[in-house]
Amino acid sequence: MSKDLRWKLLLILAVVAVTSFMVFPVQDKVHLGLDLKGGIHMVLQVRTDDAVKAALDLRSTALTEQFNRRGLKIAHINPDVAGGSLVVVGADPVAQDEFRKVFSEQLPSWSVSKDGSDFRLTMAQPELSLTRENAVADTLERIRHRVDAFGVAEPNVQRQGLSSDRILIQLPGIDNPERVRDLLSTPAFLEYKLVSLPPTFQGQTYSGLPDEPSVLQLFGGTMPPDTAVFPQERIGADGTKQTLYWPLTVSSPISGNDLVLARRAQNNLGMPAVDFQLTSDAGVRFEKLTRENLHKQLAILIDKKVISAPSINGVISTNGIIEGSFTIEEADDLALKLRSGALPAGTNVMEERTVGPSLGLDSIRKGVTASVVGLGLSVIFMLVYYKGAGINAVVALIINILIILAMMSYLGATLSLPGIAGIILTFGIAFDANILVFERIREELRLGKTVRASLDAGFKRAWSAVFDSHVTAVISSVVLIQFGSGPVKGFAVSLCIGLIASMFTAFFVSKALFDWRVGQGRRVERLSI
Amino acid sequence: MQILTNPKFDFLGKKNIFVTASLIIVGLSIGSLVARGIPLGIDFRGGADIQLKFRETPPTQQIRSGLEAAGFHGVSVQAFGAAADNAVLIQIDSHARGAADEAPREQEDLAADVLRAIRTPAETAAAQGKVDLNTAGVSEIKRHLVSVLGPGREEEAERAALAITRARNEHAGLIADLSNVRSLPEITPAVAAWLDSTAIAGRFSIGEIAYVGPAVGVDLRTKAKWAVGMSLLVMLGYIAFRFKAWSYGVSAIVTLAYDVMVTLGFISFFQKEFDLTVLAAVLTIVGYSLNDTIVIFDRVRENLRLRRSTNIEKTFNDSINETLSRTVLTSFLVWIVLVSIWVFGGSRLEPFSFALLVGSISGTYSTIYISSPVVVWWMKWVSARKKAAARA
Repeated sequence: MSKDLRWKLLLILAVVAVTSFMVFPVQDKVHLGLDLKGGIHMVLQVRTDDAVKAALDLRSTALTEQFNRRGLKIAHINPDVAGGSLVVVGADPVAQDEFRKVFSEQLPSWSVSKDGSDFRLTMAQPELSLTRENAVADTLERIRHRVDAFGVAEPNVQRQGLSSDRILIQLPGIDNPERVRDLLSTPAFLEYKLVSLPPTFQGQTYSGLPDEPSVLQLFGGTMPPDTAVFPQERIGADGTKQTLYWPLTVSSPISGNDLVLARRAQNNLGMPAVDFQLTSDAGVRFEKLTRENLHKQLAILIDKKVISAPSINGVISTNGIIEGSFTIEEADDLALKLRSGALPAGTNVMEERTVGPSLGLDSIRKGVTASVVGLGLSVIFMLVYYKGAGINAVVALIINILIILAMMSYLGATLSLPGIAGIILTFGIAFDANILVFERIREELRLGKTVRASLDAGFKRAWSAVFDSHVTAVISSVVLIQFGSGPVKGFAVSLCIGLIASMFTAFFVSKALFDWRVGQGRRVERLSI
Repeated sequence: MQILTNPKFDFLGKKNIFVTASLIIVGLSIGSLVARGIPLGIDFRGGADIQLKFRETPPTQQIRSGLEAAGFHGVSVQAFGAAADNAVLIQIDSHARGAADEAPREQEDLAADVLRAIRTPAETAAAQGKVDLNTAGVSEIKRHLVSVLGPGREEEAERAALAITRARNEHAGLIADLSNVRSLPEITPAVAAWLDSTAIAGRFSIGEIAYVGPAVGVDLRTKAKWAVGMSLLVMLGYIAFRFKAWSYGVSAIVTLAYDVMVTLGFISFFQKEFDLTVLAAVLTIVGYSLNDTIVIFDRVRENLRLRRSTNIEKTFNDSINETLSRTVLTSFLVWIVLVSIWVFGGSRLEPFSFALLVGSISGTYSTIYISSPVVVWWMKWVSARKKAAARA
């Protein structure tokens, strides 16, 4: 055996050893996709407009305060979320310069334009993009927290594309989409607001009215200036959904940002509730609030919806409790959401797929059957048709499959049902490279060349066709890899790796095996092909 | 073993017949696409797909009327997979409730509402406050058990929950009766008591629930057209570059366009659902069908160089014949594996393998009867123009 050939065979053995090490035991090394394992796949779109709106509202409040302090008269300020600007309507025409002074003090980087008698203040483009970008990044971060707390093995939470506003979440083995959706997509912004009632209501307990006009009626038709109506959703005694309305103060002295801890607890009736701890700073505010409003009702809101509105029975400082008609699970989830912090923006569910575990098992069974049949038939065919050379092709194919699985485990790619189909398809394509070479060798043999010369010529001449055809197939699978996530990507990845590996196995491995069999120096009369 | 020793078929001699036949096939494909269209899968359509598995023959009529009573319209309910699977696929438009401007939140709860709607009143009453072991997940069962067993017994609860779901998987996802799980070794007396008091085994289990928002569908449709278009263009460029002639590149594209058209035509004629996996199949065909074309072009390139022949038509005929044995063998092997996916791969891979099968058969045919005649015509046309130019 020549030195050259010995090295080649050693290299092949090394490839087999390394890939086997990376692949076996299969169930630990190869990650199954959600379609095989069961689980939830979800794509959320972050409503970055929410974050822009929040930023605009913050500025708008600051401006209003300045105008009031300096006695500048305006009608109102309109936020324009799409353009990232505030429109100051009805600014007193006499005090134009005063207004401009306030703008340049309060919003130095914003551009000011005149829109008739209105001022249009526009956020600088970099600041606007940053606001949106931060909303996505923060949401991603907090969703990750929540997923971690949820305790899923091998979760995947990532941004879909570099600068998109979509977040991809994959949770294998979880099969309760409603709970996951609630847990991951709701902002969970906690607020406390006093129930604001007319003096006539003194001493009675308010428990919500079925529509907004009746709330307005309470106040004799006009709402007090710092009061607004908030909804409460609840399941009535007959099992249907009801919405009740509450008049509450607009400002909320305590919000989710003031929390340091939240966990499930029980109220004094033994029902599930969530207790929390506030920062010492917020504790002072809370103490003041509860002392001044003893025996009044204080509403607890999550995402602008009333959860409950207990009466203040004593002074509370840093420790509080949230009561509502929670199940244990709901209390757990609410505590979790509060702990991880509110999402800075709401989200829309763009896509949600749940695969039950038994369906996954069924798919694995079918995928394996299809592979075994496909592989078995094509191997038998190759062995019958090409005899000795067929063994080369089969060895090359086995190494090819090892390389695909090893690369997938190395890249952390998941094996999906279409991915299995991709591997089966690779059987066909990998054998194609072998067939091209073998047919060429046969042609050369028919021309009367020696075995050695035919082998060399066959491999050499078949190369350009194999190379070109593989490259075009790789191109189309790369186009496909760009195409989204999930099972289809799995197909493209396994096909792509299989094609590249097939060039190595059909030429390097199969050639070395021929060389080994034919030997060197000896004259070989016949080749089993 | 050897089939097709030294074949001498005159492929291009009959090219006019075959080109006519090809045009008719393309015409029929376009006709079917226009007349019947392609049913879009959930990925491209948006909406919800819910796959349920029943213990007995699925009551499609009852499911449909339940959904209609709950205010859904445009709902399709059909048996799915083999009859013995007792599976049913419920498909709902993203605008099933009519209003396009509906709040997104409500759209999301579509699947949950559907499940609620297809339960009979008796079932709903029976399920009140109970845990359905056929639709509950491991975590859900465990949580219920923990709350019953009390603190410190999480491990016991988890073991029981895992055992219950494992038993369910062994029964193809559907427990017929509580006795199926009651006798498992992991079920402690306390868990058994919980089973008796709070658990039920409903008549269906959930295979798959998919919700795709309408915006995603529109997005994907655009992206899909781009992907197919882009890959065709890249192929054109690559072939033209490798073979240093536009004639090869253009004919490769004509061939690919033909294959894609015929595949889509068949999908439309047999009303297979076009989902992401079918798109993957179409793109794979774009790469795969070129294989054959390249092998023949490669041989033509070699023969033109070696034999210095000026008879283009003869060179093509010889090249096709010389590579014929390979073409037949490879196609045969690929068909074997595709048929095995088609037959054994289950209903989720069926449209995908169908598309690949059609595309690969079309790909083999089109290499011989489409790409070769196109190159021959192109080259003849170029040389005729050159001659004309020389005469003038």
